[in-house]
Amino acid sequence: MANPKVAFFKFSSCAGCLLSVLNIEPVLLDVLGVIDIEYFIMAKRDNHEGPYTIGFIEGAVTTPKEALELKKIREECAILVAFGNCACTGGVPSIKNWSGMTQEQLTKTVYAENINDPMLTSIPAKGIDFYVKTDAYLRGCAVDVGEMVELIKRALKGENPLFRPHSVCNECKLKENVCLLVSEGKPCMGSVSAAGCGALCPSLNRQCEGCRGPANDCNAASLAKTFMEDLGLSKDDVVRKFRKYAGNTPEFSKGAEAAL
Amino acid sequence: MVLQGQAGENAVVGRDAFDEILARLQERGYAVYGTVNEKGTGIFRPLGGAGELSLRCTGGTLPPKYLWYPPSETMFTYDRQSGALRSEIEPVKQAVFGIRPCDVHALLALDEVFLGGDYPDPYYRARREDLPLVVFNCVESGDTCFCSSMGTGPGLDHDYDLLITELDRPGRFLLEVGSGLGGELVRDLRAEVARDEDYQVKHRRLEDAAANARTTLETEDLPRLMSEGHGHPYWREISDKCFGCANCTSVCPTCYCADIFDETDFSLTETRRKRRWSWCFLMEFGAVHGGNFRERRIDRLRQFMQHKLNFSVGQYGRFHCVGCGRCIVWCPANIDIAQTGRTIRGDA
Repeated sequence: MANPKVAFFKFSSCAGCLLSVLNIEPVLLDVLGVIDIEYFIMAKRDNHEGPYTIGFIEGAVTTPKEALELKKIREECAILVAFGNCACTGGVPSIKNWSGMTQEQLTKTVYAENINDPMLTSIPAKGIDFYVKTDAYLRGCAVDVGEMVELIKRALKGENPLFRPHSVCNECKLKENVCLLVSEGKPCMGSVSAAGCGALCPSLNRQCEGCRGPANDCNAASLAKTFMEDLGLSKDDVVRKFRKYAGNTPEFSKGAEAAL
Repeated sequence: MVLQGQAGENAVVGRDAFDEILARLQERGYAVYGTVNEKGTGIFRPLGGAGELSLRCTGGTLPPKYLWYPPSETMFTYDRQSGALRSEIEPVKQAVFGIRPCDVHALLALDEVFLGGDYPDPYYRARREDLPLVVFNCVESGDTCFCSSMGTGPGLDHDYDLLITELDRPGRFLLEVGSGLGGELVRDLRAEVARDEDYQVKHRRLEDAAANARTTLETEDLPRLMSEGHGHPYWREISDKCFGCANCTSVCPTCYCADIFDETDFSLTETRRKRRWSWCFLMEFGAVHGGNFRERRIDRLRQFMQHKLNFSVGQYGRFHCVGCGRCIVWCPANIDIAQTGRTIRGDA
């Protein structure tokens, strides 16, 4: 049986998720033994056209051109995976969605004033499921490559990956970390953010910033109130927190709106 | 006096006796766990020496439950080509030094869940059968402890190998031997004879600890009142506050639910069937038809508390809340199961 054909694509993002694919040395050969990477511009010169079995997409869609490309990729891929936070929710690029600036102002602020390149035509940043049906999500900034490997293994067996979209707290408790929010009064977002990272930041004594987006059925509005009323964060800080990684999601929108 | 090493014996010992007891457990091949003060709380850790032990009860983060019911374990492996099943259940030798009465009661509750009935759980049994318990009675109550309300503390009078109660002078402990193994751990130890006064001090200190509990919950008729209060507006109030993080269930010493799943290696030949902790608070829990039957947070929060303060009594004849207070300590939204019980029953 031929190995499944896999492709990696990139839209508006920092390329960190794709880069982390190249960092899986311990299992890289195992992975390459069971899949054929047909398209991965960052990693290889020799790339092939679709169709593909699995397509991984990094990055948010921020231009009309990307939206059109995405639709073509969707047709070429049997399984389409949002690869990393930007592709899942719009991610960090989506911060601009709330800048309050017009397209023209944004372009002038970011680039030289007189540039008028159609390449820079920018639309509100969205995750890929705003445009196309998305079969799976690998969350995080950057993705957890262990989850990527798990997804590939499951796909080979025709099974759903068993990701657990509960809060980071569950993993943090298993690590017996002392709670940063309860014990130290740090504005940790772990209680409303999706797990899968192994509570990476809180385990290093850094509060969770919610880079994997909302946990299922979380109550971000209540956490936003705690940040303001108990921890004394300003309204602007709380809004920024909930719009940094996943402001497009209904769950974190409620967090931002509760502060406004 | 010198201890004979018999069940039912008692004596007054100093802290140096702890070193000897710990050493004897270790000599017998037990991995010994006890609460160590770390980052301002007590955390169960493998003990090197008895000096590391924290004598103040702080509740800690995770209960010692993970020693007899690990967060994740392999049940069996399955060779997909030959169809062979392999299950290696080895007895595990662990001991807890300084487990508290509430956690012993939680262990007894889990015994009924895993070992009662027609299908005892072999994985649990392998960790439970040889599990010496050196129990510390609690001579003071933590802010969120309500064991005296739940009948699970601050003192214990059963199911211990050794029972230790701190007396009125620091460094003096009443030692009571509860089993033959407990006796072996203290045989030939030099100690003071325990006098009536020592017992009086013990009982006074335990009574004081119970009387000074800052958290309480009247349990008389509680299951019926909880059932009647299923529609109480307080549930809405706390579920509006609740972040939905499920910390309450992840730190509960009696939560026993698991998710069972398969893990396969890259060759797709060997599959490991594993189980890992899961809880009714999680949306992905019990997703038999594609989702949790309790889709609303209010229903999942209520299920957790009703199970502990109500349903468990019908199921197992005992409260599965042992009043350890961990869910109260670690709730980032300040939701309090004891307060909930008081409010629902009208004691506020």
